[in-house]
Amino acid sequence: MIDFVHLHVHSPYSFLGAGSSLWRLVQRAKELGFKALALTDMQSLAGAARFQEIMKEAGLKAVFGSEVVLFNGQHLLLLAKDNEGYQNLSQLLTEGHLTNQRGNPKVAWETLQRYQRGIIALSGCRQGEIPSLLLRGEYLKAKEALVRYLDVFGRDFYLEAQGDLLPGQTRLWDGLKQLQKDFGVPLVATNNVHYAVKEDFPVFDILTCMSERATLNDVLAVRRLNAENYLKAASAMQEIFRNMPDALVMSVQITEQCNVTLGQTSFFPQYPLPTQAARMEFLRELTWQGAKERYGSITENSRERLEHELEIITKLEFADYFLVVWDALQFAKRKGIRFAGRGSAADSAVAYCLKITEVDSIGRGLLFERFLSMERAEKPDIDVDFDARYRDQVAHYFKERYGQDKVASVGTYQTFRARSAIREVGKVLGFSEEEINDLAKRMPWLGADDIGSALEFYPELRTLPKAKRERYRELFGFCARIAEFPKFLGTHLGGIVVSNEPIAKVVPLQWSGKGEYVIQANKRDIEELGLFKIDLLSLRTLSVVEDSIQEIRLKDQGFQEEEVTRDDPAVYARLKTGETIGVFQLESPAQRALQARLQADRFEDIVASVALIRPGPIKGDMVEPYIARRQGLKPIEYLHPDLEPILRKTYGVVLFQEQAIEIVQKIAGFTLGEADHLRKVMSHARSKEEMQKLGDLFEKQAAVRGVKWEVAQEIFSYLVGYASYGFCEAHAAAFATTSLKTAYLIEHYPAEFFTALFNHQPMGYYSPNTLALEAKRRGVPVLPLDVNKSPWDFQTEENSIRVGLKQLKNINEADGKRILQVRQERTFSSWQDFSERCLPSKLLLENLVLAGGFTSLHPNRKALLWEIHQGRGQGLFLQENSLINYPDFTLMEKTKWEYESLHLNTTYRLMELWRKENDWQGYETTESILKLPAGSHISIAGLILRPHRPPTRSGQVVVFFTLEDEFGLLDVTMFERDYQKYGEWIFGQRKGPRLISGVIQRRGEGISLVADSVLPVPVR
Amino acid sequence: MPIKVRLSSNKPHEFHWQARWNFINSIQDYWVDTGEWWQGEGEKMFYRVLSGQRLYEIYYDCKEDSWEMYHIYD
Repeated sequence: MIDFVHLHVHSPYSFLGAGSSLWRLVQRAKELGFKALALTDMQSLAGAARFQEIMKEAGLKAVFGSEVVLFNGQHLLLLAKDNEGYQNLSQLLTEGHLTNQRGNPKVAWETLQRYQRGIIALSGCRQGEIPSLLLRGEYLKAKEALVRYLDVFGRDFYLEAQGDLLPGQTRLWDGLKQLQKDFGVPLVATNNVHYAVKEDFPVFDILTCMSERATLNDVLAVRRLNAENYLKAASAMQEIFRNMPDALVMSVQITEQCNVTLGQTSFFPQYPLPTQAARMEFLRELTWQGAKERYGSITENSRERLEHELEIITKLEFADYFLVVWDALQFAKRKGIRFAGRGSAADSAVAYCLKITEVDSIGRGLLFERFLSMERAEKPDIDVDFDARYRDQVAHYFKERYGQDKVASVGTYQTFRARSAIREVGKVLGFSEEEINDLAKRMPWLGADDIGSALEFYPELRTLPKAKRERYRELFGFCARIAEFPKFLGTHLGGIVVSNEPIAKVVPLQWSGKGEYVIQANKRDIEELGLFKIDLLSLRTLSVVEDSIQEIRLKDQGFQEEEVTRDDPAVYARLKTGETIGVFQLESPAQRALQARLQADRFEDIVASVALIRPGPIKGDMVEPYIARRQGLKPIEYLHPDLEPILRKTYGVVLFQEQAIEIVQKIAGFTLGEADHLRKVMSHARSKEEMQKLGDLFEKQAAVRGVKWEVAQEIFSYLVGYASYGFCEAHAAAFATTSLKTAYLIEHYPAEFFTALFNHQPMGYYSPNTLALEAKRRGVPVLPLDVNKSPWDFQTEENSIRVGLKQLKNINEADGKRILQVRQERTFSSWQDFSERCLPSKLLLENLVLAGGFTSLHPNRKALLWEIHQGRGQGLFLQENSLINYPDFTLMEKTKWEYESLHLNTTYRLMELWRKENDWQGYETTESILKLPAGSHISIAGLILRPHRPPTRSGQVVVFFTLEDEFGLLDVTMFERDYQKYGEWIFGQRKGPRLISGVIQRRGEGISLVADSVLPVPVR
Repeated sequence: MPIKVRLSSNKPHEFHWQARWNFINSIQDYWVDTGEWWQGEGEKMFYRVLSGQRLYEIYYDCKEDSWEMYHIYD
């Protein structure tokens, strides 16, 4: 077989520039018997880490490169010869990105000159300078250009002949051969690959149109004429290049020169102390000092544990890791920025002593090895949540401390979801805007790869016109093919990398939407590149806690924050009712139902709650046994005596990752490395085969230790059931601390808490309108907008909450500031006075009227609108106050307009008005059903909130939603058979209240409904 | 317009046009055009050929399995 290597290959990391996934390209290369493959994405090394990983698995040699656009818009292909070349390529790309506008990177000639060492350059595609000149027949200019490139790259410059069978190929190749002859520059064959197989060309073509915002019927120069840019077999390339066999051989010779391995060096940042020993010593000092503060007296057990952790940290030379984070948190403390460590870092007692986390890992018996161990193959993450408003200040501190060029945001690849794929592919295929909107809105929240089967399954899709089914099928088919393709490089919500070297040497940087540096790598690439990441996450809940406490302290200076995390009977009493809207992590319908049944009365119950309502325990049917055992309704049994100490605190149920690790160690003697591999397989829901292999190992080793085969098999089956939820106890405990704080605040200071909650929207599970209902239910009414009373933010007024101006539709902060400034001089006496002094836009004025903002000055909103439209209050009509006696809006209209302009209702709820207007008789309400026994069949009218269909173990669809009326909420479940009949009324586009019939369920203190029908409510 | 083409070594050798066989002196260029795939069109292989003193563009339609005259240069 002829030797050949594809050196010009694009993957989806060229962003809309390739029609096959990276994995598919590599698999195809392997199938065709290639020994190596290059990856040369457009202006990017974003796929490099993943490429190395996949190529390693496939046993192929990876060649790294990129196709760059030069200052004059011409293309050039660059390949890294060695690690220095890779560093230079990365810096070259960075400079191209950072010296130009976002999205339009260009590499200056000087940049090429500066970073050419270790880089091989190929003359590129038809948009390359030399090929484009040859195609135009300008041979002399092509010669001049070649001389310039040779001047920069010398013997590392090659002429590139592509076998893509486009018009003009003969002329182009003749020119290239002539240059080869005249200058002795070698020719290399490539195929400018954009997809693995010819059949993927339509996908590539669609993506090209998408990137140009065009449809398939548009004629565009950038669209390829043919489907020849696929990963051709060596024999096909040989046929095309039969007159230039040396060009094929040259690809192999270049490959032999290219030897780059990523991630061989660690770029860990250093805390600014001169030696590793000094840094370790400093960490020890801080730890023991913190231990005294945390524990008072240090027990032998605590001392041993801390010594053990410090020993591992020393051996792994990870002192910097802790110190760098500790240092940043010192900054946060100095600035009064609220934070809370989360994730597996809470498994570390050292992290607790450094006050990085608030979870006493020794007290809880948490396993340090879940976080860090000698055998663990990967570096752990330390994740910290910050008050969302100040998170960027902490990120900025890192830049100040370690250097601007050594800190950057982690990237994230935005991929196509079902809805986004439908919208974008639909446009390319020529679907009308209306059709696309309708389809996208009906589409459930699925990955784009799942939508192929959606058409037949979901009732809200089955009602699509039959005549168009074939076209929809085609659309969905293409959507499925681009599922998981990265669309663009975004910025990870919280991750930043901090390096001891300029980051651009490791991975290219580009501009983020926020105008910051973002690396061309996502969080899973970090490890492969040898970088260090810390997650600085924005958590609005912390902002809410902070604001609530500030507000409380204004009234009660003696308020102690420690109060909020004590075990308070009133808090647990409330949790038991399932009334947990607003409580961090415990407010979803599933959580509320759990609370009503679990009957929590201690912190541990909250920790378990946080871990229980996850897809894994729900799919693995772990919730019911847990509740039954927790309540003493079922005995706690252990399959093996060794399981008792591990599972005692979770009543014999495997709930946390730490427990899974301990079980395999204890029962089958797994090493930490093996146990960690199991954790990874479980948390990433890897293949069944991989799980099976681990199961075999577990059973075999357990047998050696005297555990019966049947018992070992059953224990492992629990671990399999547990697979895919992978929640770590330390993380659950860290979250539970915040849950408890919010539960306390909401119980004892609802006005302050809900005010803060409104001010930090959007957040949490419910809309401001539902929060307003809940606040009212808890005795804190929400007061209407008032131009004379509303501040910009929501504000507590006695034991109520005044709607803030910020809630008004289409208002901006400048408008708000002006209103407040003018009002400071004196309150408004009339709408004309407001209009004259604030000079609002007509739209703003109208919205204020419709929202009820002028009601305290004049009750007739319709008359006010009429006046505004007539121009009164302005110009010639300035002094006129001639509000005519115009019939006002009805109460229903006013309430609807209030909702339209504020997205919430204050005094009245639409449901209560609908009920009166339509004289609905015989329907229950969320209030009246409280008196009814389980099993009662009822009909109830209300609005459907947050309908969703989570995965179930059986694969059957179960729909959950919340029904809201003017009295409160009711959680509703509907099973597949009924969903197939009534799904259209739950997920369809038609709005308005629904009449839901079903049977009341009572579990614990909770009440819910299993619905058997959902229909529109009859209206008069 | 449909034409007949004789091949040699898998390449057009002569084509039948205006009631006679035209010998192809040389193939000046060759390319592939995928056409409007979304409309069900098949791939076409184009040849720009010199026959006598004239340049012609002919193509083979893979889907229809037929040869067509595409363009004659003046």
